[in-house]
Amino acid sequence: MSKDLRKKLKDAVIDGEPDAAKDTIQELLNTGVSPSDIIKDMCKALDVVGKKFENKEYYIPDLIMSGEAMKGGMEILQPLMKAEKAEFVGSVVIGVVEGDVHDIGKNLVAIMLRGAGFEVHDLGIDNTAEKFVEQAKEVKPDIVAASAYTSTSMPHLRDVLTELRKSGVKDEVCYLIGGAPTTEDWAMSIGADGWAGDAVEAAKVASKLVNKRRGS
Amino acid sequence: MSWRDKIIDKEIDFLAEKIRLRAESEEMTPLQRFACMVTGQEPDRLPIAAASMEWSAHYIGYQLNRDFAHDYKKWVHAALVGVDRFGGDMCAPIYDIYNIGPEEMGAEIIFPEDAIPEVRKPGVNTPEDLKKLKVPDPYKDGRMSLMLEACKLLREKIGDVVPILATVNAPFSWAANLRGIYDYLADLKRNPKFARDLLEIVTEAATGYVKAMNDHGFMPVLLADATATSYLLSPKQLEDYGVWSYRKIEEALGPGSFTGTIWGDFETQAKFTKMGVPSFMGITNYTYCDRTGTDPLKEEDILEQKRVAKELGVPIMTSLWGQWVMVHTPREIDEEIKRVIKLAGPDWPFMVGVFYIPLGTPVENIDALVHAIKKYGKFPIHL
Repeated sequence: MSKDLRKKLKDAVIDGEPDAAKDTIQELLNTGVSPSDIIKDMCKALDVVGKKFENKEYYIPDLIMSGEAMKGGMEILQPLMKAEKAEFVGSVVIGVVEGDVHDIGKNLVAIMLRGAGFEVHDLGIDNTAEKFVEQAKEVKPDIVAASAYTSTSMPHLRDVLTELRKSGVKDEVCYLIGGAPTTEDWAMSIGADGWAGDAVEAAKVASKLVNKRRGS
Repeated sequence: MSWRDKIIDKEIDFLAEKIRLRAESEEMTPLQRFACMVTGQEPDRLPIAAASMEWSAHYIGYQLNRDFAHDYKKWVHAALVGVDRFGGDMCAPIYDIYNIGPEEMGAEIIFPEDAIPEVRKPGVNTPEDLKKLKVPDPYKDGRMSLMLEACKLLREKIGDVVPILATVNAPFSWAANLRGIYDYLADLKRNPKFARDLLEIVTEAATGYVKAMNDHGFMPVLLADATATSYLLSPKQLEDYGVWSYRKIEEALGPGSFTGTIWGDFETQAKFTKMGVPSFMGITNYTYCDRTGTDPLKEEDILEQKRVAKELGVPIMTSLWGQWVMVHTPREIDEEIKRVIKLAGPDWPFMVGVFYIPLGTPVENIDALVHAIKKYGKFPIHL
């Protein structure tokens, strides 16, 4: 029974069906499957989605809907995870920098981070450097991830890093950046710990950063 | 008319005259150069693309706020400054193309002081909202009418020596900005009927806008379609939505009324060109950077593009990625232009440059780009 349901959940995530995912999660919980096991299944499903995206079988609309299925599921499971004291791979504070309202890239990165097993704290769009610091102090993430889409907002990626350093938070977190005008060279030149060109790569870089930080 | 408006009018006249004098003093005018490229004849040198509308606006001290966004004479002023300052071979009054249309159909737009406008609230949230949508009148409504006026004025001033690229938001990108890009892309999978119904209404609006441009003498009009790209959509979605809308416009207006762009990888563009998609009409064939959007074109990609362009009998319009130009040195830009010209030319017509110059790009980088094209692109080319 639970095996069928678990397959049904994976299919719902892979096919991008948020309502089916939510219903199946409820059924799985009713049969006694733990929230962390359900999340693991969804992560595996999202991994399949990521691979399909890399192989050009899936495109952004597919990624978005699979992400919506995952997000809807997490809304049910996250409170239960806390009660269960289950652990995530790591946690990330993510947001778009000040003066920038482009959030598609950031949303896709958040989807893939969740799929890689991260707890994601999404600040949304148009965040000051101070907002990133404030949130990082509150949730103590492994990674602060920021994105900028325009060349005019790109310098704020540097401002976030400056504030993280000033506040001492940088000693405790890795800084990951991305966005259309950025390049890996530029990211390294300002002192970021990581850069990614797309959402799938961002999740891989985030995992590497966390592993490196933990010495594994 | 205020004294400030009078000064802008004088400036427009002065710049137009300066551009005309220079164009006429050269071996070929930019329009003749462009015509050579389109018809496959050898120009005196490669035509230069340097689209710098926002950059030029900043350069002359305009803030990109609501005031600028609703004053077509300032657009004309900025467009002329770009042509005059850098000596490009086309004038592209491309400014905030993707919100013109969505704004007139109900999207709420914000106008930051130093960036291009953005959608704050989409104009369509549910299928029920479609019933309230009205197709705007391009001659009267909002910035659509202003863009018409801007193109018309530019044509009057320099149209006989410099090609004016009249540009309209393509239906798919228009629908996406009206609905919100994230939600519209989700709708393609979540509720395809809603996505298609919205696209149909918007295609009617875009058809009217292209027709108005045609009536002003612009043939063809460029359709800008940043969202209908192979980065975002599957080939089937591109065909069912992007290409579908192009065909609808062509059915309504006839061949030659527009040419389009799909800003994606070359493989997809070549495929659509081979299919006879009207968007290409034999004159545009954009090259871009690689899939990451951050690295210059690979040698094999340039050669493959040239091979396919030859096979299809179309010229190549090559643009360096604006962000790449912004962050590299004048020397690196010079070397990159030399490399691209050596690989793409000289035995096939092509245009080279940058189709979008981001704000903050150092002036010396743009100068280096233009200088390099003039230096390496003079016929006969020996590199």
